[in-house]
Amino acid sequence: MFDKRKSGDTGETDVRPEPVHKTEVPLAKLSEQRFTQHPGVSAVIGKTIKITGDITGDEDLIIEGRVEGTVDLKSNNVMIGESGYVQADVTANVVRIDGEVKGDVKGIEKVIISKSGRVRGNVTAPRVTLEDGAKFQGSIDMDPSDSAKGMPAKASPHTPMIKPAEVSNSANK
Amino acid sequence: MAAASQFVLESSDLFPLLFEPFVNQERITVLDVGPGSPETVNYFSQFRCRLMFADLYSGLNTQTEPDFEDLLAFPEDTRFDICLLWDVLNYMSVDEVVAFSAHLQPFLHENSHGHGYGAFSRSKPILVSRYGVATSREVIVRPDVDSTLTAPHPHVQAEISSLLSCFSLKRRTLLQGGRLEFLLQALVTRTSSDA
Repeated sequence: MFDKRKSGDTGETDVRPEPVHKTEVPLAKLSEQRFTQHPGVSAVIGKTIKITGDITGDEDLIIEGRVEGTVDLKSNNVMIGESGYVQADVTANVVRIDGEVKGDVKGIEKVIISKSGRVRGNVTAPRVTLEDGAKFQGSIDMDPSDSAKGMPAKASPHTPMIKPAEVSNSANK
Repeated sequence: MAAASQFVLESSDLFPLLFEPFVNQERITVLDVGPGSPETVNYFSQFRCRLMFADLYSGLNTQTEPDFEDLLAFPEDTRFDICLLWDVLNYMSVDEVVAFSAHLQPFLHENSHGHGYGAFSRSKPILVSRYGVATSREVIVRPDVDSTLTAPHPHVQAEISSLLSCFSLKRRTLLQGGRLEFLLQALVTRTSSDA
């Protein structure tokens, strides 16, 4: 699961396998977002777990605890749960943030910052969704053409745009 | 903070002009001085772009002097095509607008454009609101929960012209609620290093 790079010089600490366990997790919320490629099975870093180091692997990951270092799961999905705190650069296929992240986030396909999410850093992804209530400070690099399902790369900002769903459903105009 | 569900869609004649210079540009760089807005992200997610949220409002909402060096700490090579200033100038004192302008200027190029709101008259206070981009012609305005709160330093057109020295006023229009909507173009001398 983890890339245990022991290096006393860099201050990285051992990452013990015990805290991370495969489990059946309620992923209803995630599956709505088509979050997991393998529904029902993800590695979980529990609420009381703190990890300092580099995380790599080949499965989806849910972070409910604290992670400092890097998270690199390019082929998989990462969810930072509401209790999760990540001070690290995160790279994954889809990144969903319900908790707090301080660092750069790269989504190969998409990054979702949910209403409870708090991000301070730079986000790079073909598509980024910021839900109402999310706290974000930093930059967002978007390039829809990088996504297989992306929109035309050179759409004009002058083009009349689709209104947000919230707007079209409201009579507050 | 504004209730998430309360908002007004406001048509803007100036907003389309903000985007016009960049219609054929491959990639645009946008500064939004507000907190991250879902609608703004949604709008710009349709383009190749870099969108930076500085959230100056929270930096100005303190007892201490705003540290623009920290609030506007962008990578050195950043040059904004579009600056969404919303009504942030009305939360800055005269000295703060001058400082803001000085700190923003290095991140502009000669074709940078800005958009914002000032006051038509000081006698008409500006209600505290948050803004976002709905479409290329419409702005989302979210009034504060406490609808009586007003921006502390409403600036009229003449003040904006003289204090915000990194921009010139290109167009302006009067809006309801005593607001002045303005379109800006950067006043930046092209240097050899920019070429």
